[in-house]
Amino acid sequence: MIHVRINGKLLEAKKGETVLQLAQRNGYHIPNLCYHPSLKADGACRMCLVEVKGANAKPNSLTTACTLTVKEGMEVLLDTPEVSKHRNTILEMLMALVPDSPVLTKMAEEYGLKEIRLAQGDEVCIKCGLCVRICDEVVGAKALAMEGRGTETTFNPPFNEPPERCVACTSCAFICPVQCIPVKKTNDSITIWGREFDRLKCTRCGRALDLTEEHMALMMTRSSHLKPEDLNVCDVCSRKEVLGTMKSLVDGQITLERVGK
Amino acid sequence: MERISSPNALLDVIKKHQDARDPDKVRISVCQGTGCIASGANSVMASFESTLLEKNSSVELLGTGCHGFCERGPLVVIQPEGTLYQRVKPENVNEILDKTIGNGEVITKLLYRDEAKNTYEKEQDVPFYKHQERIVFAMNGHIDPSRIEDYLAMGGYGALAKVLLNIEPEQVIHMVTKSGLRGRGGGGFPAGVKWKSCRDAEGSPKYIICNADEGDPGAFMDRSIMEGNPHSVIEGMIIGAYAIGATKGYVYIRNEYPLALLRLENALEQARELGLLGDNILGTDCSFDITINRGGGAFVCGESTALMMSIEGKVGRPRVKWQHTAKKGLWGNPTNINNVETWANIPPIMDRGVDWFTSIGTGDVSNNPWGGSKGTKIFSLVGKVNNTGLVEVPMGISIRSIVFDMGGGIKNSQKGRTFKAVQTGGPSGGCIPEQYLDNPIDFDELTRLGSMMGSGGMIVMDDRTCMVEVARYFVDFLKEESCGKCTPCREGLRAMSEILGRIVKGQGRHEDLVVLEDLASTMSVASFCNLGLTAANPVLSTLKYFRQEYLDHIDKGECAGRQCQDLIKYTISEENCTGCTLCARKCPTKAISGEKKSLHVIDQELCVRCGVCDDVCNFNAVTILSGPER
Repeated sequence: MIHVRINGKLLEAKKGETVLQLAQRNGYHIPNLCYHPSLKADGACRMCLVEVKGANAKPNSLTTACTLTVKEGMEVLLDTPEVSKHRNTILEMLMALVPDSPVLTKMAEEYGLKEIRLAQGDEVCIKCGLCVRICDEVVGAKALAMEGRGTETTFNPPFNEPPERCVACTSCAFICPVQCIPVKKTNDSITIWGREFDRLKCTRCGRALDLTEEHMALMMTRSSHLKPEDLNVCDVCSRKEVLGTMKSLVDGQITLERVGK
Repeated sequence: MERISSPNALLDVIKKHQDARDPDKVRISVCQGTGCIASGANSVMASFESTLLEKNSSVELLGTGCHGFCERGPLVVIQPEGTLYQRVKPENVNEILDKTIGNGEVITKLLYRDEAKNTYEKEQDVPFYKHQERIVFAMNGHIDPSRIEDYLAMGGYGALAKVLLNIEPEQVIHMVTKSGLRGRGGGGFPAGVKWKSCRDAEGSPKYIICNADEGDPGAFMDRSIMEGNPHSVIEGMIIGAYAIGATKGYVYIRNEYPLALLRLENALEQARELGLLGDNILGTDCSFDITINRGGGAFVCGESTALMMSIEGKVGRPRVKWQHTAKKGLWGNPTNINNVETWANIPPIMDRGVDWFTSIGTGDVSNNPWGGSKGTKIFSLVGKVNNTGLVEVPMGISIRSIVFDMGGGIKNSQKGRTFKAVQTGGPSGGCIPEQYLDNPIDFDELTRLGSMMGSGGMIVMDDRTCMVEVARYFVDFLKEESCGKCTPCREGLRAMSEILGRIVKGQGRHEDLVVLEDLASTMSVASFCNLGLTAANPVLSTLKYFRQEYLDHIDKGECAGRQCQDLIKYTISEENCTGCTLCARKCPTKAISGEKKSLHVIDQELCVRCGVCDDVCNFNAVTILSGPER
């Protein structure tokens, strides 16, 4: 066990975990915009700044909790005046970039940021890169990419064309912290990144699924034990099936061995 | 040439070439560095070749690497006397051959003449060279970089033979640590410490990288080393590979350096042929080869982790340093990365020893490699100075010595131009004002002054330089070159650029300075990589030393440097104008009118404030007004 203090309280940390993970596990809140537990930490938004002492840290050292691995004897302070000053400047920069985001506005209220002194832009994306990373690391479609450099950085499908490799899983839209990726759903289709996909229908009841042919194919290539029938049945029908099986079991109509098959 | 079978055999080969080189032989060396080529050295070289052929002369003609004195190119040096001819044209070739080579006569008009009209005959007496201490550049100007024989004849690869014969890898690292050699790419991290952690790290294969992605505006020392003496870099890397236990090396070189690339490729080929690279180098257990990786010109790819991402074929963005590069670098393996100049320092250290190296420079590194700055540093001296070029100086020399002794002082001082500041360390460096001219410069002192060593760029600024405009220029450069990953660097630079853009137009507000300082302070502690962490330096150092200039722009609409086009007005003074009509003839927009021998007048509507009239006027009659007087 590794011993780390957060805001003075001694906590037991697991080897290899980050300060952000440790803090979250113990109920501390550290604001962040580019972190997700299922992705590798990227350290891009810099909102999760903390002050570190001990364990060979330089004096008054500020760093991001998401990229800081715990070390024996480390002391972490979450809300020092330094932390809050720089965090607010970063938030101010983001709010100048994306002026009308409810998420950022709420954060500003929470952390007492009152005034945006910087020239306001008219963008919607805060350039955290979560969309590209989830598409790459979790979904495996690799349909999105970072383009350009510096202030010109954008996260888009390559060449800004409807992405060939997209499967309309909509993970990018789900993970986006400022909800700036539009998704249009009708009973028959999902439209995202300028491309329209047909929705699959439940093979039992015909209800529209949150699934496309492309998404199903991708999932099956990524996991060899998956079969189409595991995916193309709606929640209601699967639940019905499970319930039915359980009822038959209880009634003694089938045995456990048969369920296994 | 034949493959060499052992370190001893290499020593014999070196001896043979050294003996064959006659130091008293008449040699004409023509600089073939990029700077001299740009001013016409290729045609001078061609003219020498054809004329020598015509005359059936046995005089040796040598196309060398950069001599450093780029301002005065094309440069020609006649050995063994060391007579330096500058700004040589093809039509001077016959005269040089007839008079100097034929009769030992010096052609005065081709000699270097300083501002005080003194002429200098020998290269080593020219003030630009006289105050330098050349270790890395020692052979530039004496060897043909395309011939390994020339390098061998100067004792090249002798250090490698010595190391392979007598020095254990650990001992090599110990020597590098004791020498106090610190990273010349700007970080100033002790090379030996880095080598040791890479040697001690678990994992195989180990890699070493030469960072040749020189990207600072105005810095070109790495290019000149690779162009002028590529084998010194290769020898340093082989010694490093032996010490660290690396089997594979990369040179990450920018594609905009075609000549350096060519010479390096050629040198690698020659080294392989001799058995200095490849499997079982010189018959020993050490195997090592070098691959060239061309960079696409992104400034951020000079940052070590972004550079490695780029070699791996990924987008060049810095990555999280979970573990040090020495432990997990390229493809997750132990990697050591050093800059061109650092690698080129290794052979002389191995050859001449630690005591010799530590006798040059500042501080005491005997117990602590951070304790000082040892050896020399090459600076590229550019800007408003008479002699621009590359100077290699011992650490601890003063800026005054570089700018005034070697640089020959401020350009156009006869027109009243004076020194204002020197900008060091590339775009993320800072501006150092006059009061620190006599401070000794080394890694720590420059940091203390709010600037940094960086890769050694040194831009001299005169009183006609607006410091707000300087900050704006560098911030805009960095804004373009920021990778865009982290918020403080990307958005901080965007905001700074907007604010500075307003101030130079006279639309600044007092609050802007507070905002600039807030942005700078956050960028300096919260950015992801060193590019962002140092990106605010141009703003911070100009605000620290030249705050009044910011205030004058804001309060009075006055630009002290008379540079901000929206805040200035060119006029011609009645007192000094002789009516020579020169300005009227040179004005690109025909904004100046006036009869011969009578006062000329500038039409402010047509004037684009380019400054040509001021440049050409011989009577100091053009005045630039700014602020209330405008």
